[in-house]
Amino acid sequence: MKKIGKHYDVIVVGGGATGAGVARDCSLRGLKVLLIERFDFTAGATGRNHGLLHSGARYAVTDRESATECIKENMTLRRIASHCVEETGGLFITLPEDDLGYQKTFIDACRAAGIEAEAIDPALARRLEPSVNPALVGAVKVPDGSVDPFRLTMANVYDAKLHGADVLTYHEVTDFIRSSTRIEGVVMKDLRNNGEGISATADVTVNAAGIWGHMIAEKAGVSVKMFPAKGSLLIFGHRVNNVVINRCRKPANADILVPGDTVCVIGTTSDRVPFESVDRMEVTPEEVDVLMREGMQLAPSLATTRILRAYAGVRPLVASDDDPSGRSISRGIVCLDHASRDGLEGFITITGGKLMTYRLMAEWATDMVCKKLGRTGLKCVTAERPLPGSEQTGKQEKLRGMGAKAAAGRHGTLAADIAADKDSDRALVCECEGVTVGEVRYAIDKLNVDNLITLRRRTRMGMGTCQGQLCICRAAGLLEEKHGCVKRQLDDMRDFINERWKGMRPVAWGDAVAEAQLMAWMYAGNAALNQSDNTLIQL
Amino acid sequence: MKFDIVIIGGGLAGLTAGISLEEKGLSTAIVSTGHSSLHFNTGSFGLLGYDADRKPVASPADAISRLANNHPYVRTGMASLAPQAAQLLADAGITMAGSEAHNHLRISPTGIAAPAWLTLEGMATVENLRQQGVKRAAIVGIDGYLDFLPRFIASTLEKAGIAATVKSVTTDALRLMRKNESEMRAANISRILIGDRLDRLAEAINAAVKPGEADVILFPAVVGSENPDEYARLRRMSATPLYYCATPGASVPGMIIGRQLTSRYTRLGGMIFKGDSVVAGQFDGDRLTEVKTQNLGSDSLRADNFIFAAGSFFSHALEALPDRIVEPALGLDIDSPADRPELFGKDLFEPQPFMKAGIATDPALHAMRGGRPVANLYVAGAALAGADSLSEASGSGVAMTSALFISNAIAHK
Amino acid sequence: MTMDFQEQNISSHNFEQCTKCTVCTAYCPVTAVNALYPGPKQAGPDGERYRLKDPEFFEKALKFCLNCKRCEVACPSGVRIGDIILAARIAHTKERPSLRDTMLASTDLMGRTATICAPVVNVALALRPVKYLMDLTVGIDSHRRLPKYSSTKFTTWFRRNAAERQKEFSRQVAYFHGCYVNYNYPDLGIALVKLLNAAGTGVRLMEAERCCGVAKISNRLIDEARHDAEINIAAVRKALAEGCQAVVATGSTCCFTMRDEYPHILGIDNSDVRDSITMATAWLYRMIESGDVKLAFRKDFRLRLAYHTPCHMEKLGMANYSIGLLRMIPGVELTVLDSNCCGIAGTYGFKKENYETSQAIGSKLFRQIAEINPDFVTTDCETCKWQIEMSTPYKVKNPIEILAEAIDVEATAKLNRK
Repeated sequence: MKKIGKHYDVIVVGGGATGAGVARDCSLRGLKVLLIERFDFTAGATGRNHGLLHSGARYAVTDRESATECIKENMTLRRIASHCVEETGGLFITLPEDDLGYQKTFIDACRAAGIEAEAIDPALARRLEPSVNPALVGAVKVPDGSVDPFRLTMANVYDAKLHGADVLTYHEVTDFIRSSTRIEGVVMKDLRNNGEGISATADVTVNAAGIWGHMIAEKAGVSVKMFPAKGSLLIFGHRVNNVVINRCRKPANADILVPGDTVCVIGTTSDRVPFESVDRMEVTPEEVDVLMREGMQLAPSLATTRILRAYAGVRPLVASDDDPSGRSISRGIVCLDHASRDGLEGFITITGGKLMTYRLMAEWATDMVCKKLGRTGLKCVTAERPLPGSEQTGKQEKLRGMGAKAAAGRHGTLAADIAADKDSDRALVCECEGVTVGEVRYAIDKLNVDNLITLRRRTRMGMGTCQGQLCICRAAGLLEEKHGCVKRQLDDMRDFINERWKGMRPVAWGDAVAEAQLMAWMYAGNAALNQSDNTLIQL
Repeated sequence: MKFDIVIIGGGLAGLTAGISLEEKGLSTAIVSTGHSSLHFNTGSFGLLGYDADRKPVASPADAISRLANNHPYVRTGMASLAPQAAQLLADAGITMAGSEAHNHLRISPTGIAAPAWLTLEGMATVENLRQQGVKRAAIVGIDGYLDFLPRFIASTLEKAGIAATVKSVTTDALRLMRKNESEMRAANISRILIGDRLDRLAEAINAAVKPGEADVILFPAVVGSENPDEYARLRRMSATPLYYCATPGASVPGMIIGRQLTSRYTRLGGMIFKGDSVVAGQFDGDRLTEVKTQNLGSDSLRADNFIFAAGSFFSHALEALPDRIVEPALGLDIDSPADRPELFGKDLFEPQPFMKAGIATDPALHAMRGGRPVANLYVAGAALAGADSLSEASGSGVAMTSALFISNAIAHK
Repeated sequence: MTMDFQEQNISSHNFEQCTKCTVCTAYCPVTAVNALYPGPKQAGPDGERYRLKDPEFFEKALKFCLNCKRCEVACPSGVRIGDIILAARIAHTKERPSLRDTMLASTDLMGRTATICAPVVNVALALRPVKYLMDLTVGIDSHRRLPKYSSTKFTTWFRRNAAERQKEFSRQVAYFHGCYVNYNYPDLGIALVKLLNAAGTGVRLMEAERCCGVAKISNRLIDEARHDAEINIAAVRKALAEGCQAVVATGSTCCFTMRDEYPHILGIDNSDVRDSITMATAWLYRMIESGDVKLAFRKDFRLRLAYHTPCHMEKLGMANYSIGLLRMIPGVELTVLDSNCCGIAGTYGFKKENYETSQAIGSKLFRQIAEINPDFVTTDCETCKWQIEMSTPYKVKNPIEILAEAIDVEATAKLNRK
C-alpha cells in the first residue's frame, strides 16, 4: 500500500459543500488539510437538491433554530458567494384550499427568527411573479433566493487548494488507521487506479460525508444514527418563474419552485429509504406524479412546460425513531466530538444541517478541530472573506458573446482566467448552456475534471435542453487530448449518456422521447457506441 | 389538390416511394414536416447489421430467417427488394458501394467500425482502405472544428494495421467562419466550402500532406451539401487519394443523398409540400379519402392511395404519452412491444423496446385502424412496428424496402 | 399514474420543442454568408432560454435575421424560430427605429407622397448624387435602385376603369393589392382583374386597405403595424361578410403577414378569417380543380420560364399552386429553381449594413438563373422581383401576369359565362 508522506493536521472525508467548507475554513486558518472524496465533488446530496437560498422562512414555524441559522447564512452567502447566488426574492403563497389564518402565524414566526416577511396583496404577487397561481388568496414576501451548489462547493475547494490543501477525488475511505483510543489516519482505495490502496495520517479526521457519514462512522467503530430521507425533484426546460415560489403552509411535498440559472426546479418529496439504496436513487412514476400535481398548484404553466429530467438526493438527517417521513426532524447542525461521546480521539462528525448552513457547519467543525489541536487562537474568517470568484472588483466589463456572458455568471471574477483571446477558445462546446472551449480547458486544468460527468458539474455542459446531444463528442475530443486514451473516452461517453438518460427515463414521454431518440441515433447508431468496443469486428 | 398517391413524410421511405411511383407514371405528392432524419445519416445505409443476440451480421440476406414474425423484412421479403433499392439510388445519381449479400464495415464518427449495407462512394470504409492496401493514413481535421475526432479514428486504423498521423488545416474562409461561436458544424462548413474557397482548402490539404507522405488522406465529410459536385471535386484536387470520414450531428453525406433523391423526385414531377404537416384524415369505411394539412387549411389532399412514411418519435409521427403511444394525426393503431415503464430500458445502448413500437399493419403493410386494415393506406419506414433500427442497424433498409414493397403493390392494383 | 395534465410533455412554450438537431442552421441564408450572425438556433430557441434568465443575453447581431422563415420550414419539430427571433428583437432592442428604418417601413406613406410627383421622384432617386447622399445620410445603400413609383395608383386605375363592370359577376373576391401594386406596379393588379374577370369572377377592393405591415414589423414599429393590421382584418371580415369568396393577394409576403405574423407577432386573433386570406394563384388553382373555373390558353404562347420560390411562399406552403398553374399553360417550359433566398428580404437589403450579405445570399439563385437563361423569371414576391432585376439581366413577372398573358381572354370568358 502507498502511503502519503506528508502528515496532515486534518483529513476531511466528503467532498460535498460541508466537506469543502471545512477544508476551506481549516486551510484559511493555516492548517495542513487533506480533502478526500469517494467519487466527485458535489456527487451526493449537495448536487441533488433545489439550490434554494433559504431565507429560513420555511422552518420559522416548526424549527426556530434552523430558521435563525438560515437567515444569518443567507445574508452571509450574499456577501461571500455573490457569483453563486441569485437574489430573486421569494413568495409564500396561500391558495384557496389553504388556511389563510396560517399566514399570521407564519409572519410572526419569521419575524421572531429575524426574517423579513411582509404580507403583500395577491395582485402585487401576480405582478412580481406572473407565473404564480392566479388563484392565490395571500402572499408573503421573504428574502429567498437561489444558490448554485456546484459553484459554491467548487469555490470552497478552489480556495482550500489555494491555501495549501491537498484534495483527492475518486478515493474511497475503506478503513481507519487507529490506536486503541485514537483515529490516526485513513486507508483509501484509489478508484481510478484499480482500487490501489493508499493511506494518509492526520491528527484529526472530520467525517463530513453526508448520508454516507453513517457508514464512515461505522468504519471508525462509532455509531451516528442517520435517517436517509430521499427527496425527488424535477427540472424544467427553462425559467418559468424568476421569484422563488413556496406554499404558505406546514412543509409538505413539492411545495417549492426555485429558478436557477436557465432552468427551474420543483421539489421535493420526502421518504425514508434503506441505506442499501442510497447509492442508486431513482425517481418513481408516483413521485413524478406528486411533483407535477403539487407543482402546478404553485405555477399552473408547469403543466405545459417541458420536463428535462428527474433526480433524487438523500438528506443526511440525524435520526429520531418516531418520524417516518423525516419532515419534522430538525435541519439543525449536529457536530459530534467522538472523544467525549464515544471515547474515540481524533475523530469528529459534522452532519445534519443543510446546504444553506454549510459554512456555519464548517465553522463549528473547524473550531472543534482547532480545539483538539490546541490552536484555539485561529479565528474563522469565512463569514467575511469572499469566495474566489465573488471578490468585489468594482469593474464592470462589457462581455461579448453568449459563452463569455454565461461563463461570467458561472465563475464570477475567476472567469477572467478562462482563455477567450482566440476564436477557437470562444467556440461553444455546449450550445444550450454556452460553455466554450476555453471554459472546458479551464475546468480540466483548474477544477479537478477528468471525465464528462465532472465536467458537467463544473460548467453546466450537458445540463441544457438537449442533455448533451451536441456537446458530448466535442468535449470528449478535448478530454481525450488531455489523457490520451480513446477507449477510456468511449466508455466515458457511454456513462455520460446513460447518466443523462437515467434522469430522462422517469419523464420519458413527449419531447423527452423525441430528444432521446435523436440522442440514441447519434450515439448508439451513427457513432456505433452500442457496439461493445472498438476492436475491429470480423464479419 | 388531387393526386394518385399522397405520401406523408419526405424522408428516405417517402422519397423512395415517391420516386418509384413517379417512375411508374403515377402522380404523387409528399407532405414533409421539416427536414427528415436523412440529415443525420452518415453516408452509410444499414440493412441488417446485427442479429437478435447483437452479433454482427455478415450477410443480411441470410439472416432474415431469424427475425420475429412482425418484422417488416419478414413481411416484405427484403432480399429481392434490396437490389431494387440500390438501383433506385443509382438512378438518382447516388453512387453507393455494397450489397445485401455481404455487409462491409463503415467507420463511425467515433472511429468504431460497424457493419453497413451501402456506403456513399468516397466515404472511408475498412474495405476500401484494405483494398487500396493502405499502410499509412493521414487524418486531416480542420482548425477549430470540434465535432471531428481524428484521434479516435486513428485508434481504429492502428488496430487495422494502418499507421495514422493526425494533422489539421485551415483557410481564410474557415478562419472567418470560426469567428462565430456556434456555427462551425459539418452542414454549415459545407456551405462555405464552395467554388474557389474549396480550391484554397485543397491547396491547404496538399500542403499539409505532401505527395508520398501518406497512402490516403481521411478528411471530415464537410463538403457538398449545397452542390454534390463539390464533394467529388475536392477528392480530385487532392494530390493524395482522399476519403471522407463521417461526422457527428447533422451530416453532409446524408444531406447529399437527401438532396439527390429530392431532386430526382421533383424532376420526375413529384410535388413536395415542405414544412407542412398532416393534421387529420377523412375516412370513408375502410378507405382514407383525404388528409388535411396545417398550411392548406380548407383545401385538402385527396388521393386513391396514401402512404404513411412520417417516421417515428423524433419527427412526431408517433407520440409517447405517459401511459401509451399514439399516432396523433390519423388515429392509427399502435403495435408496442411493452407497456410503460418497460418500454424504456436503463441502458440506452442496449435494445430499447420503444424503438420497436410503431403503427400496426397487416401483412400487406396496410395500416390498422380500430383493429381493421385501411385498404388504401400503407405504412413505410420508421413508422412501422417490429424493427429496432438501432440495435439491428436496419433503419435505411427498412425504409427503402418497405417503400418499394408498397410502391410495387400499388402499381399492381 | 394519471398524468393527464402533462399528457404530451410538449411544451406550450414553442422554443422548448427544439431538440437541438441543428437542421435549421443548414438552411439559414444568413449564416452561410455572415459570420457575425449567431444562426437561427442560437439566436432563437437557445438564446431565448438565456434571455428569460437575463435580458443582457440579447445580442444585437439578431438584427441580421432576414425573417425569411426558412428555418421554420426546415424544422422537424415545428419550432417558430423566426418568430422567436423577431419577438426578441422587438422586446429587447433599446434604440428607437432610425429615420431610415422608419422611412423604409412606411411604404404606404412614402408611396402616397411619391406617386403624386412620380416622374420627379423617380429621376431624383436614380440620380447619383441623391443616391450617394442617401447612402451617407440615412444609410440606404447606393447600389440600390429604389423601385420606381407609378404616376397612377392601381386603385385610381381600378376606380376609373374597372370598378363598374365588376358588379356583373356573381362570384366575387376581394383583392389585397398591397403597397407595391398600388404605387409601383399597377400592371400586376390590372393583370389580375383581367384574368379573374375572364374566369367569371368579379374583383373588388377592400373597404380600407393599409399596408400589410411587414416592413413596420421588421423595423420594430409595432404599434403602427398593429394599428394597420386591425384595420386590415376588419376589412377582410367585412369583405367576406359581404359575400366575397376569399381575399386574394398577389404578393406572398402580404399574404403571409396577414395570415401568420398577425397572430404570432402582433397578437391579433385572425383565426376566423385566416383560411380565407390566400394567394390568388392558390384560389384560382382550387377553382380550376373543382371545375368552377376553366381557362383557355392562347395557341401561340411560348415562354421559357424559371420559377423562383419566395421565402414566404415557401412558408405559406402555396408555391405548388403557382407552379401547378404555370404547368397548365401548354406553351410554357417551366424550370423550378432550387428554393433559395434571393437576399433582399423586403427592406433588409436596402440597408447599407446589409448590402453585401444580401447580395451574397442571392448569388446562388442568380447563378442558377443565368445557367437556365429563361425568357423570364417568375415569382410571387415583389421584393424578390426587385432583387433579381437589380442583380441579373432578367425581367421578372408574377405568375398572375404570365397567366393573364397566356389566356385567350375571349375563349376563357366564354367558358366561364353562366
